[in-house]
Amino acid sequence: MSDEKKVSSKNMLEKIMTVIKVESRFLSEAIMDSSGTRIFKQEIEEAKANLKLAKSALTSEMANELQSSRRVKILTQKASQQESLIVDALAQNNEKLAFNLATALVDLEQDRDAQLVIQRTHDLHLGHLKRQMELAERSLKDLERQLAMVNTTDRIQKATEVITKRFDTADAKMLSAKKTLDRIRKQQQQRDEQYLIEDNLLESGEDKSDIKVEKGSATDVLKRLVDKD
Amino acid sequence: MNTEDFAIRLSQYRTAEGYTFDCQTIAGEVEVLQVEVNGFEGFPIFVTKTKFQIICIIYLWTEAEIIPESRVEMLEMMLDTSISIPLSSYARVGDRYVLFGALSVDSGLDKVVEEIVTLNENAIDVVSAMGDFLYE
Repeated sequence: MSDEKKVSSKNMLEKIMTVIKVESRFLSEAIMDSSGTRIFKQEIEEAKANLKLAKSALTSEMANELQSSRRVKILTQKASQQESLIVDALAQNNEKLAFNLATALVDLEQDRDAQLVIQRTHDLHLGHLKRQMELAERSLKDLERQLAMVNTTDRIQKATEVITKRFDTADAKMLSAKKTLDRIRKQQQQRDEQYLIEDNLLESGEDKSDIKVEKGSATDVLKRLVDKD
Repeated sequence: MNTEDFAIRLSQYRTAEGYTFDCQTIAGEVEVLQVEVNGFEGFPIFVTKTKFQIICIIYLWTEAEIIPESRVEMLEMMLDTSISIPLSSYARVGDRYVLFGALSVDSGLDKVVEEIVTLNENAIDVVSAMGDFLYE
C-alpha cells in the first residue's frame, strides 16, 4: 500500500523509469495496468468536470456583470437627465420643483452607487473565476501530457512489434542500418559511374552515333532509284 | 486526418527537390505507415500517430550489432551529438536503436514531409558516423 502511494506521487516519467529499472524495457502494459495510471485517468475526469463547472460559473457571472454594468449606465444617464431638469427648474425660479427633483436625484444616486458596488463585486468574482478556470486548464493539460507519455510508450512498442514481425518474415535485412547503408552506397556508386560514363561519352563525341544524320551523295540517290526499278 | 487519407496525400506530394513518396500501410495492432523516399536511396521510415503527436521512426541497429567494447563510447557519442542533428533525436525501443522525429498531431503535410526527408538524410549521416561502433 505504501509502495503504491509512493508510485502515484511520482510523475509519469519517473514511473516509466522505475518500471524500466525494476521490470523490463517492455513496460507499457505494466504501467497501463498500474493503479497510478488509473488514478491519473480519474484525475483527468475530475479536472474535466471542474473545468466544466468553472466555465458555467464564469458564463453566469459574466451575465451578472453585464446586467449590473447596464444598470449602472442607465442610472448614470437618469441622474444626469435629472441634473439638467434641476438646472432648468432653477432657471425658471421654480424652487419647489427643483427641491423635489433634487430629492429624487439623491435616491437615484444612491441606487447608482449601490449598483456600482454590486458591479465591482461581480468584477472581482469574475477575475477569481477566470484564474480558477486557467488553473483547471493547466492541471488538465499537465495530466494529459503525463498520460501521453505512457500512451506514446505503449504505441511505439506496439508499432515496433508490428514492424519487426513484418520484417522478420519478409526481409530481415531491411532493418539492419549498416546493410542498408552498404546498399545505398553501392547504388550511389553505380549511379555516379553511370554519370561518369555518360559525361565521358558526351565529351569524346562518341555518343553522336545515336543522333548521327548521314548525308548521302547524289550518286547514292541515283543508285537507290535505279536499283528500285 | 486518418492514416489512409494521409497516405494518399503523401503519395501525391512532390517536394521542390523532386522527392516523391511510396506509402504502404502495415496492418497490425496499431496503424503504421511505411514510407520510402523516391529519388533518394535511404531507409524505410515508419510513421505512427498518437493523440498528440505524429512520430516518424527509422530503425538503426540492435544491441546485438554493437561491438561490446565500443558500446559506452557509442552511447556517449549519441548523447553528445543528439542536439546537433536537425529535427531528429535518438531513442531505444526494446533492443533497437532508433532515430525519430515527433511533430504535433496538428502539423500540416508539408511539415511531415520536411520531417521525413530530414530524418532520412540524418539517418544516413548517423549510420556512417557510428559505423565503427558496429559489427560489419
